[in-house]
Amino acid sequence: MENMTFEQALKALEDVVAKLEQGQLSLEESVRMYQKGIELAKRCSEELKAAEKIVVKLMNQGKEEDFETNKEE
Amino acid sequence: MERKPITVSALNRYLKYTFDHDKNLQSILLKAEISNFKRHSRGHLYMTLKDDASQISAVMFQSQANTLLFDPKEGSKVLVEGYVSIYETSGTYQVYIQKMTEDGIGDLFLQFEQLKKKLSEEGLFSEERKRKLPRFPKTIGVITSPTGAAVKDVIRVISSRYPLAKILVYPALVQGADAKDSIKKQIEQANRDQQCDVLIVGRGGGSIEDLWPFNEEVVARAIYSSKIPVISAVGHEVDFTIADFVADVRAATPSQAGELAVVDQKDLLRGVNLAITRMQAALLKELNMKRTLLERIQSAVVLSKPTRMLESKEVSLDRLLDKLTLLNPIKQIASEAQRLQTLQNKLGVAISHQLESVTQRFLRCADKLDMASPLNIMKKGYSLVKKDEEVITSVNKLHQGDTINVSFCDGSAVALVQQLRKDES
Repeated sequence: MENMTFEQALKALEDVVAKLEQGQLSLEESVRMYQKGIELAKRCSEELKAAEKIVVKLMNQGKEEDFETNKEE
Repeated sequence: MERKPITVSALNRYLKYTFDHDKNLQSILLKAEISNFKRHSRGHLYMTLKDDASQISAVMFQSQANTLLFDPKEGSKVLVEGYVSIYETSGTYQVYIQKMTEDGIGDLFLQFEQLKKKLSEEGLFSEERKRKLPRFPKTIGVITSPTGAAVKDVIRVISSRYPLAKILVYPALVQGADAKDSIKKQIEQANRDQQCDVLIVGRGGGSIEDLWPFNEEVVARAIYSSKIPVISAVGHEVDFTIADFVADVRAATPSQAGELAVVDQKDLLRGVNLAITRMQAALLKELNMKRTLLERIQSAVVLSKPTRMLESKEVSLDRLLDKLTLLNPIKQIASEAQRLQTLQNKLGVAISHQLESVTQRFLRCADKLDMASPLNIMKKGYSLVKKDEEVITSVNKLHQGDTINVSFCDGSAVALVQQLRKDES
């Protein structure tokens, strides 16, 4: 789960919800699924919360340079 | 001399009269640029006509506006025919437009239409070619002026919506003669760099000349050739450029391009929270179902009153035993044995009857035999004559001189035939 991208984690979470809602699992599997889902949900929201500031770079001849967003025209 | 005041209405009526009777004001031909353009819901057009130094309000009523051959907008350079009059209620004067044409850009407009037709026929605008944007782009390329308002709008919107993304700004000229090649070069560069999942190509609002690079064929073809999906974001809502038609997605403004490029993290968090709620509901439902099932099982007779189960088993065991008793073969054997006995008895009786009658018959025969015995007869005086062991029953079988054997009941004698006498008959 650590190596998942945000997108993969979110997709996995959607799958877990769908499986749980189908309700065709044993109770043990359901509980395990639920725990997995909670971990995925935690992982998704933490990643969103962690990314507070967006990275902006200026591409100059294929090289990245810092981009000053507050520069006035 | 005392001055007599007049009413405001009277003044405005007087001014209107004056304006309306001025030949110069009643038929004007004006060269101007449109700003503050508003299209009223009832179809009337309100705008300010201006040049570098001055401006005047103008209105074009719906009946005349319907005859327009172009789509007037902010910054349009126009030639206006009409008159000037006063609107009495507000005391404002304005140009009442009767005819309006585009000034000077007739050629550009023609170019635009021709290129649009050509590229459309080539299939550059076809809906099948439009690619879906990635839902969660990791890197977003923005091809625009690094100092313009557009790049700021895009960065502001994306960073507030989805800070997980990274933005790469590909600086490009977005107006002037060199702009088209600059934009094309950066689209190609971004494709070579292969860093971006989606590209935003555009600029903020401006005059039609300012936006013109986005109507150039080289830009259209660069967008078409891009392996990375492209969002166009040129000018304001009303501005449509060739780039908009070619792009995979058209954003009305750079800000909207940011909204189209990424999902809002608020929605994502809401989605994650909804997922948690749904999982909890599903698990709870599952638990309740299992609990109900457990309760039903627990309340089942066999578990709540285990002896009752045995009782019922006892009953059925009894029933089975009854059935078994009914089916017991001993009885049948007994009845069969009885039958056998009866048959045996009958047989015995029959045999003894038979024996008896046979014995009787035998005895009767023996008596008869006894009575018929030659010994008996010989006792009465008869003898048996044999010659050469042959019993002689006729005199004709004897000759004079034959030796015969005469048997009696108690012995025999050998005799010589001396004389034969045959009976006369």
